[in-house]
Amino acid sequence: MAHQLKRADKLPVALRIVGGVLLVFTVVIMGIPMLNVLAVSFSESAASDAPGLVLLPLPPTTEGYSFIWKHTDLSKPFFNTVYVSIVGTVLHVLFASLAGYILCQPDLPLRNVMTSFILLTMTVPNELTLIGIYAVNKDLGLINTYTGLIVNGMISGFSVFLMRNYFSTIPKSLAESARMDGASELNIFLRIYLRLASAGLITVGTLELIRRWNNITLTVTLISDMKKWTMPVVLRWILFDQSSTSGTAYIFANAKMAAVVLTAAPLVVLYFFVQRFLTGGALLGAIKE
Amino acid sequence: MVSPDVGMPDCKDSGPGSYEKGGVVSMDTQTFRKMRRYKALYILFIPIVLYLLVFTYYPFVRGLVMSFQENRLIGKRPFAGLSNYAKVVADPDFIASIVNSLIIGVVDMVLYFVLALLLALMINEIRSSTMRKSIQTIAYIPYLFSWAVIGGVWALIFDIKGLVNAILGFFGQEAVFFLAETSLARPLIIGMGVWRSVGYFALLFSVAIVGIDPTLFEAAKIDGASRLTQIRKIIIPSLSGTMKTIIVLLSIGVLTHFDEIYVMVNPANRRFISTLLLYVYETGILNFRMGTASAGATLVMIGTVLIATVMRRLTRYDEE
Amino acid sequence: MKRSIVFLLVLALLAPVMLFAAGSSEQKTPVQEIRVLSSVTGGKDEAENKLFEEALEKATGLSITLEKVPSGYDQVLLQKLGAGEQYDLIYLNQFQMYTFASQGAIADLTDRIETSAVYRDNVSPDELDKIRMNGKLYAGFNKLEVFPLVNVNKAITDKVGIDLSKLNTLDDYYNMLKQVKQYMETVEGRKPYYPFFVYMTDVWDLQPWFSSVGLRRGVFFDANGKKYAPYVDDAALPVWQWLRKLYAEGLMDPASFTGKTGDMRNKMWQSQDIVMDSDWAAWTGLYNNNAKVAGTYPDKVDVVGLPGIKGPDGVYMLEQGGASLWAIPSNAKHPDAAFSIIEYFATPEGGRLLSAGIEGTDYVVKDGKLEFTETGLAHGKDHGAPFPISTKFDLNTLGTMNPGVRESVAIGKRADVVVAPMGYADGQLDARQYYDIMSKWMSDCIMGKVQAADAIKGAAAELRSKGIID
Repeated sequence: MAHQLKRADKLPVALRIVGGVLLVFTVVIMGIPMLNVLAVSFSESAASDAPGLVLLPLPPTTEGYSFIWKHTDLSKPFFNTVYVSIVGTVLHVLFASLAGYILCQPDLPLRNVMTSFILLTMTVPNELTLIGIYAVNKDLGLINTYTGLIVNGMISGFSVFLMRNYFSTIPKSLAESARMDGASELNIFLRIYLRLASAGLITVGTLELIRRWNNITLTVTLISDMKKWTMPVVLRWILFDQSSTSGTAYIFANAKMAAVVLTAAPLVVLYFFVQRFLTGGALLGAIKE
Repeated sequence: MVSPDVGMPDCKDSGPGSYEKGGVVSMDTQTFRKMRRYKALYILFIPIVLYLLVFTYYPFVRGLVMSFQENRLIGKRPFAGLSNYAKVVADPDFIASIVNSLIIGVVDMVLYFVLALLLALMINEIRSSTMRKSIQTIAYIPYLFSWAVIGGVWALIFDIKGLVNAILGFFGQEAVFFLAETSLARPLIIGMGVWRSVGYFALLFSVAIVGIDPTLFEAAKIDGASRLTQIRKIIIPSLSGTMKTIIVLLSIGVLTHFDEIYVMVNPANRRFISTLLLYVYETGILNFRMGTASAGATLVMIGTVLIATVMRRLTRYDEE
Repeated sequence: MKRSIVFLLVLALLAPVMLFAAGSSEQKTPVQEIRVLSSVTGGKDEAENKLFEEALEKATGLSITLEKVPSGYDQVLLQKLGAGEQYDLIYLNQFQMYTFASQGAIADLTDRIETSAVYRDNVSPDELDKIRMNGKLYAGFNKLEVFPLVNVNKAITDKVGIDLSKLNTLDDYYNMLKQVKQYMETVEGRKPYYPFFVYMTDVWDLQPWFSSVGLRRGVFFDANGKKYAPYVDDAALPVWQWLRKLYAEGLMDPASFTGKTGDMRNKMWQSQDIVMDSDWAAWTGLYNNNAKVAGTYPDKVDVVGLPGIKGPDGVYMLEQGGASLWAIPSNAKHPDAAFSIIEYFATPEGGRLLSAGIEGTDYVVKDGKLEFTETGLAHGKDHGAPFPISTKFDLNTLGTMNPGVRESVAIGKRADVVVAPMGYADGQLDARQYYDIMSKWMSDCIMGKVQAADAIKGAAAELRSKGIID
């Protein structure tokens, strides 16, 4: 009800037209890469290598996909990726919301120090920790383990601060009244904050899942056992390392792009599905019940 | 909706600024009482601290130590003092890459922020929810592809025989050699970054917009406020927390552009877009000179801390 | 309340700890296990890599763990060695060999190689000289390197009526490109047509042209022990001017400055957007083979390799690819065993393993001849070394090759052709900087922003200021 009311009124016509044109423009330029990748993946082998931008495969074929299917068994890397991404994301979101909750307490003594402690971790360039990261994982026995892929990146400042932001939009009065009713801190966190910030949780979770799904640097650092490879590493291997300069193997662009599509497709589907929870607007309304 | 004057004072009344200053400098009894009350939260923070010490601070310190050591991959690394830093700072290429990094980084930060906010506001005005979802998904899609794929498509679009030149040709314009045109080197890199990331940051704004208390709009409408006024008076102010967060997060990325440069660099545009991390990568890591690489990366980190601190202060990030 | 906090805390702490425990009992290697870190060399997948390892164990009598890192090898090499991992044998390229040797990270193998009977019988001393650093040897060979040469699509030049055997000077090539451009634009209506692509990024493909003035890429020592870069010599001027003229007259593809080698190759065989480029000898065959798949060979695509232009000394100067090598890290536990693997790779049998692959999987032997299985054909007769280093290895045993390869490779063996590596200045060359400086000035010159003579001076000055030349 409130949702409909909110949209009952409109912007001036001129603004709406400008906005509409800009949106169409955005959709067109954002849609091009997707269209190009799709079109090439469905092109015939030789045609897919044609220079220039292809937006329609003529004639369409699934040659590229069947080549990939025969060339590399993607099922194992696919399930590896699903496993480490999902488990890793769940843990990540748990810690991000915990830390975000702690840091969103406005009158928490030492809060700024704690914020700085996490903020500082975000400023370290990967180039500085290349060897250290490997050494830590080696000492902890995490090389060539899925556990390593899950544990690394379990806490990131990025997610912590996003969660802190989403939590801070929740009225503090809710927590205070619960506190007066004798609720424990953990209960306040679980029952009030996690529930009310579910859009934030899903957002952070989605972003993290995508980041983990596409992560190459960490996987290459930890995993040298090809059995344990994830999709993006296999993808990069197919895209770049397979067509060696002096070798004799050749992979056509349609197969390469088919690999790109296969890697990205689950994310697109997931994202479209998850949006239901992000564009709701019913979340705050729920408190009123 | 719970009325705001029920229960304990919420964050807006509690004057966070005064706590922040008083709390750290002099531990008065009130602060102690607070710390006792929040004991549980401190305990819960311990695993987070431990984790970050092991997985971020320890590798960082190892890198930092290496920046004071000679370039040796195997065996003992002799102490080298500040010589790695001296070499990096004395290199004109490093200085040039600071300029490139700042220009690309700052313009990217501003554009990501402004355009993402605009996009989120526009998307919010779409009435059909299917349309809204579809447009948001499409705007977000470039982010799902790796920079290598994005760079490939970008190169095709701006190729001498590419899409943009085809459009220019349609209007009777001469073809432009975009990718090698030096005056376009930075705009193209910046455009590519915006292209890939704007949907991502727009999503962060969208989620915050959706979370705005609907009763505010109802009240505004009873007062006869136009939609534009509602945007100005309700949506924008409600987003202030999200804006602060995004600005601080973006400021951390100012000096760390690498991947998009790496995939787009060529002999003609290199001197305009070679950034700090590309310098660190090419002079240090690619040549297995970890002392040099660590010194360069440490300098980048110091710059990032400075920028982030300034933005944190400017946006009053720690005050709600 | 307290209980729930403790519970959460314990959970938070335990989660990682439990996970750690699961993975920690790994990597206990037996005493004599030889650890090898490899990039491209080995099996094509995990299963085949195991077989490759077994074949290597059988041949050398050692117990071997071959860790293959087919993607992101340089990063992994840096991380593993930097964090103190011990390997007995590592794969690296020629630049890495120089870097590692100067950091004392790999062992001096000069004595071992010079006294090795296997190396004496199988490896040409010329090849060894190409990887010496201050007279010393720090690595053994993975494979024999080939070279890039001029590749021309004869299907097009035939139509235009050009005799490729009569292309002897820069002007001849210029005229050929001009004729092709005219033909394609007027007769075939493909406008604009840019017939020549030269991959500029590492000034990589220019050697066949600089051969016309007898100069080589890279940095060398002159008689007085001073470093100099031939490409910025005054004698190089005609080539710089020639390239500039090609671009000005629309004979060079503008994508030469921005495109990747993949773009160049697609234009060569797929769309025939270009008629000439410089590429590896093996690619002569790949162009034709790809065209065969597309049904355009040999009517539209028939690529042949040419040596370029003879220099003042009457020889064609082509550039050999940087070597791919095996080295023994200075902290290796079993250097002797590691060296026996290096030796095995230099034998004809080792060469067969590195090219054809594993007997029984990739091929079977029938009547003394190799017969490739479907797997073997899919693996392209390349398990790290399509061309083995052993002089006793007979390439013919590998069966048919892609059309045109044999001829292109044969060019390197002609008496009037000298195939040699670029100038590494005994490993002192910072290649990245050299490439960046050279490609910058060359691009500016070719695109008409600077006069050729000024560009040469500018490049020389910048190389000097960076200490790359004296």
